[in-house]
Parts: sequence; C-alpha cells; structure tokens
Amino acid sequence: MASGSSGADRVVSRAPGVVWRLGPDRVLVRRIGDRSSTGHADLHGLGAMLWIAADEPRRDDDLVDELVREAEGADGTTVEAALAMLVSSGWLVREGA
Amino acid sequence: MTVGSAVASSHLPVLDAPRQAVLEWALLGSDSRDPVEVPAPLLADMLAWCHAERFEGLLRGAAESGRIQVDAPSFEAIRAADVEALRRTLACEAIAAEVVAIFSERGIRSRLIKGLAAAHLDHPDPGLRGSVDVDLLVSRADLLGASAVLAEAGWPRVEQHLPDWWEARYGRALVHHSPEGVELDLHAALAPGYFGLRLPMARLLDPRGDVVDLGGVRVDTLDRPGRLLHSGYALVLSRGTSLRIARDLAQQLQLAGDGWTLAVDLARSGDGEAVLAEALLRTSALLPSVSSHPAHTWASSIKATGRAARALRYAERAHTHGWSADARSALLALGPIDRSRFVFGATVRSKPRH
Repeated sequence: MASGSSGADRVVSRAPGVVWRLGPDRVLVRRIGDRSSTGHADLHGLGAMLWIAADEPRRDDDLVDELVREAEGADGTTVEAALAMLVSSGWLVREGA
Repeated sequence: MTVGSAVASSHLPVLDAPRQAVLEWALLGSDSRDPVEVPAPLLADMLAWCHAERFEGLLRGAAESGRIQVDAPSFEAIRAADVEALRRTLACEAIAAEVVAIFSERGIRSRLIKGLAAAHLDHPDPGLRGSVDVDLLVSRADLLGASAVLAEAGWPRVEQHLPDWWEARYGRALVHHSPEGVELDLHAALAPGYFGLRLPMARLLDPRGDVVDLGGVRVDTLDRPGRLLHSGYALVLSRGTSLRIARDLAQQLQLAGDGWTLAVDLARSGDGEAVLAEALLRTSALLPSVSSHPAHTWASSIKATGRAARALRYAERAHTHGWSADARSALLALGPIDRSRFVFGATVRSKPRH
C-alpha cells in the first residue's frame, strides 16, 4: 500500500509538452520549447520505471503499489520519493491532492 | 532507359557483414541470426558509419540481441553512442513539435516528413531511427509566410542565395536554424528538379494523412503511400546513397500491404514511376528480403521514357555537377515562360538582408 492517505484520490500523469525516448538504461525526456538546463533529463531506475508506468493517467497509490511489486528492492517510501522528485521537476503531474 | 541497369549499380555501397547485419536488424523478413563479430579495433569506424547513417539504435539493438558480437568495453561504447543519438533526436523532435505548434497558431498547415515521421510511424521502435535535423512540408503558397514566421520567432533563414519570388515558385526547401543550431528544412517540394515540380502536392498535403502525437502536439505527416513515395524519391534523387532511406523504404513497404500500389499511383501522377521503381530495385539490392515483395516484380518491369528518362540522367549527373543538373532537370517540367523566369531568377542573387 502506498503511503499517504489521499493517494486513492490523486491521479498521476505525464506532464504535457514532453517528448521522450526509451534508451538502453534510461528514459530521456525533453520539454518542448524549454532550452534551459532543466528542460531535459535522463531518468534512471525508479524514475524511468515511473515514467513508463504513467503512460496513461494512474491513481497515485496504484502506481506506487505497482512499482513496489515490480522494482527490485523498492518499498513505498523510495517509490514515493522518486515520484515526488519527478513531480517537483515537472516531468509528471499529480492532480486531485 | 531501363530502370535498374546502370543507374542502380553505380550507387550501391558494398557492405561488410557487420554493416549488413546492422542495416537489416529487426527488419521483417530478414531472417539471418548468425552472430557477426566486430573486433574492438574496428569499432570506431563502425560507430562513425552508424552516426553518419543514424543507425546507432540499430547497432545497439543488434549488439544487445547478440547479432553483433563485441567485447564488454565496445558494448558500453555502443550504448553510450546510442544515448547521444537519442539525445540529438529528441532535441530535433522537441523543435519539430514547437514549430508545428507555432505554425498552427498562425494558420499554417505543415507535415512532418522524413526521419522523425518514419521513426514514429514506420519503425518498430522510434529509437531505431535517429535524426539530426527537422523536415517540414508546407504548401508552396505558405512557404515564404512560414519562413517569415520562423525568422520572427528567432529561427534565422540560412543559405539564402536566390530571390524569394523564385523560391516561392520553384524552390525545393528553405533552410532555417533553431536557436540551438538545429537545421530545420522547410520544404515546398519533395524532390529536386523535374520530379519535385511534377509531383501533385495537393494530394500529398491532403488532410487525411497520418498523425503523430509529440508531447501533446498533434503533428500531421504524409500517409504511408506518401511516405513510401518520398523515401523512394529521396533515395534516387538526393545526393549519394543514404542507407537509412533504403531502410525507411523497406519498413514502409513491409507495412503498406497492398497500399504500395497507391504509392505507384502517386508516382505515376508525377511521371515518377521510374524513380520509385529504381528506388525499389536499389532497396532490394541492399536488403534482399525486399526482393520477394510484389513491388520488386513491378519495379523490374518499369522503363523510364521521355522526360522522366532525361530527368533521371540529370539526377545521375547531379552527383557530380550538383545544382546545375537539378536546374536542367527542373526546366523539363516548365513551360516556355516559366523556363525564362526560372533561368532569370537563378542567375540573379537575392538582395542582402539587414
């Protein structure tokens, strides 16, 4: 179960305006029209897995639970932290909180 | 002139086994699975070739599958090269989406063409087809307007040698650079010379083309017959032999089903059957799995005649004579008044811009 009591009400999705490619050990993401140093990133590990799993809008706790099941060595806390990082950096959006 | 005789044989590179394995990797119908070794001392050459052909993704796939066998440091170098290629391609893709959105706001319809469109629509994984530039097709009526919009947005036009009125009437493409230096080619025609001017662009710009979603931006492309035709024209009428275009064409042919005949119809409407036939024969020679396709039988039966035969000869000469051969080819498509305008415009330089 994901931590956070409102997870069932929140929906996570990929941020609009981002193009991406799946690389050998990472997901490369780039914001359209953003030429700043934060306009592109390489997502590794849990970050890459979260990006792939969010290919359509997902309930927050469903997404976290899936990653906890599938990512070796991951628990709810580490997945939540990775998710929070992707949200704060604008690659994923979390709505309904 | 018989298609597939002198023209085809003169432009086909002879590929060694590793390069052939990369070219064919993950292509439907290419069944060879025998491992091919790339010794470490030869890897740098292989990477350079893959970079020139945008084949880093194919090389990585072939190495990961074991089709290409390399030592551990080489394997890591291949993966690193692919990451850099993906980064470059993604920068192009972001630019394409940005420009299409700008054009849409200004009421200009555009079509994403060539590598980025093929990557999403014709290859099993977009990561297998790299790009280093962006190609957009607009109607000839919109060419200068679209170019002005780009210039206003801070994307300067470069390589400007001919008057605007000439470009609007006869030009093939205007070249712009993005703020970060990525080339954006704004096309009004899909090929140089006679065949580019003869092709019915209204059909190619038909709103029923395919669509790709780039980060939420709806981006129109040509439909598959149109993309197949364009690959064929690019393979035969552009300078040199681009193996990535042959691979694109093979992908499009495999996915087209019976729809490949629509590409033939399209070519016929622009007197370009011989171009498409020549492209199919070249592709068959490079990728043997294509030779079992019905299109290969059709291509073997096509003979270029009349102006098409002359234009194909000019296309041959363009490899060594450059633009002057393209210009002579273009004249074949024009009536007397346009010929005079064409020659006049081509001999005066555009006014310098401040």
